Amino acid sequence: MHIASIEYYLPEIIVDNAQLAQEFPEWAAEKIFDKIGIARRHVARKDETALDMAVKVSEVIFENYDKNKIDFILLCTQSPDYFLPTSACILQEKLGLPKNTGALDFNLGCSGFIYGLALAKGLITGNIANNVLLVTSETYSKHIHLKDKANRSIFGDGAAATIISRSERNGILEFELGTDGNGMNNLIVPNGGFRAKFNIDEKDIVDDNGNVRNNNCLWMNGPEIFDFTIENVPPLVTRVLEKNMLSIETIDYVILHQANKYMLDYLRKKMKIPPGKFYQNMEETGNTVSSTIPIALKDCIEKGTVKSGSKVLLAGFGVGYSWGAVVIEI
Amino acid sequence: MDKRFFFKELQETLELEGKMDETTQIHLTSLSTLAIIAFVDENFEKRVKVADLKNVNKVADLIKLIGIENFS
Repeated sequence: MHIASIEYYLPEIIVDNAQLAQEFPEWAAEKIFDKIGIARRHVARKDETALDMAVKVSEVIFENYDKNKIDFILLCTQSPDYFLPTSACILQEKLGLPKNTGALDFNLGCSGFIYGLALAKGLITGNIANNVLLVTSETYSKHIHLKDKANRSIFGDGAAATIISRSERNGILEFELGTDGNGMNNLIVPNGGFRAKFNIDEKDIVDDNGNVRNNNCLWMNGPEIFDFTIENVPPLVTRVLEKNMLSIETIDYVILHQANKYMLDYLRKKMKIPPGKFYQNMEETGNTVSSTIPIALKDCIEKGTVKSGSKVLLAGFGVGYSWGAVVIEI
Repeated sequence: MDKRFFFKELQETLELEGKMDETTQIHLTSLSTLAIIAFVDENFEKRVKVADLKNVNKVADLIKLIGIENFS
């Protein structure tokens, strides 16, 4: 099996650093770029949902792929239209896919693309599917408080579609996955589920850095997430290399989840990965959660950074905590 | 690590101005907490926890957390 095609979609509205600096005068545009490496991020319209973006990106991928070949949809999102029905079921109907298509949603964030590839591999290996449409689509902007400058600076909305197809090639190699639910409170939208329902009277809280949040919104404890990352990602990369009997030297390229520049710089140095084989580009998109890796992969293929036969290490990590890595061959 | 070198590096990491010594007060924001975790990990191969940094109010507290034996 192999990855047959990738496309991505970014919403039309763009928020640049100058606009953020205007809204938050203490937050200079250059400082934002220097710290996190993001110049612009795309934001979904008020009436545009993750499912709408999933439809758009799938329509783009079907411009060059016969949609009738798809027999399974995997949709990764933490911003579903409804508690029920499943967004992937609505996506099947909106895309006009055959009724013998399997479909399911899964709720993961920055590790979502890796888990999606793992599920697709399982479905194909188990003779359950031949061509899987994996869609990652996220609108964190809808979870973020308008006065939360930190999270508004980091996150961007976006969607990606990837087709994983049965073939003679061994294009998706071995995985390493992991979970630590102990980190649940460090990246969370506390209200809105059944543990604590959305509360319109929820009080705003201002943190030490002037970010405003309340329990209906996304909370991220940046230092704790950083701590989790530096503790878990280097061993994750080591283990996935060992599982594939490879080394950093025999890998052609490394694409980690594009969390922010600071974190990526740090991880690259810690893992002693040469800059020439390490992807770092979130300037135009921000952190699009589960779509950063497929966006990066598409960018690398288009620019020729990775070519047919290249071995690429992918690793995603974040909310949950959840993490995963795999080696693919383009 | 030589303490003078440590002060210089720490000053750059925290983007602080003026003279730094053990009595210098430090107020750790979210970004500077992250910077300290990275700085200590990189220079001392030691992991300091976010919770431990909550009790750091001056440079001497940080030296104590890293371990006085690591300085000259």
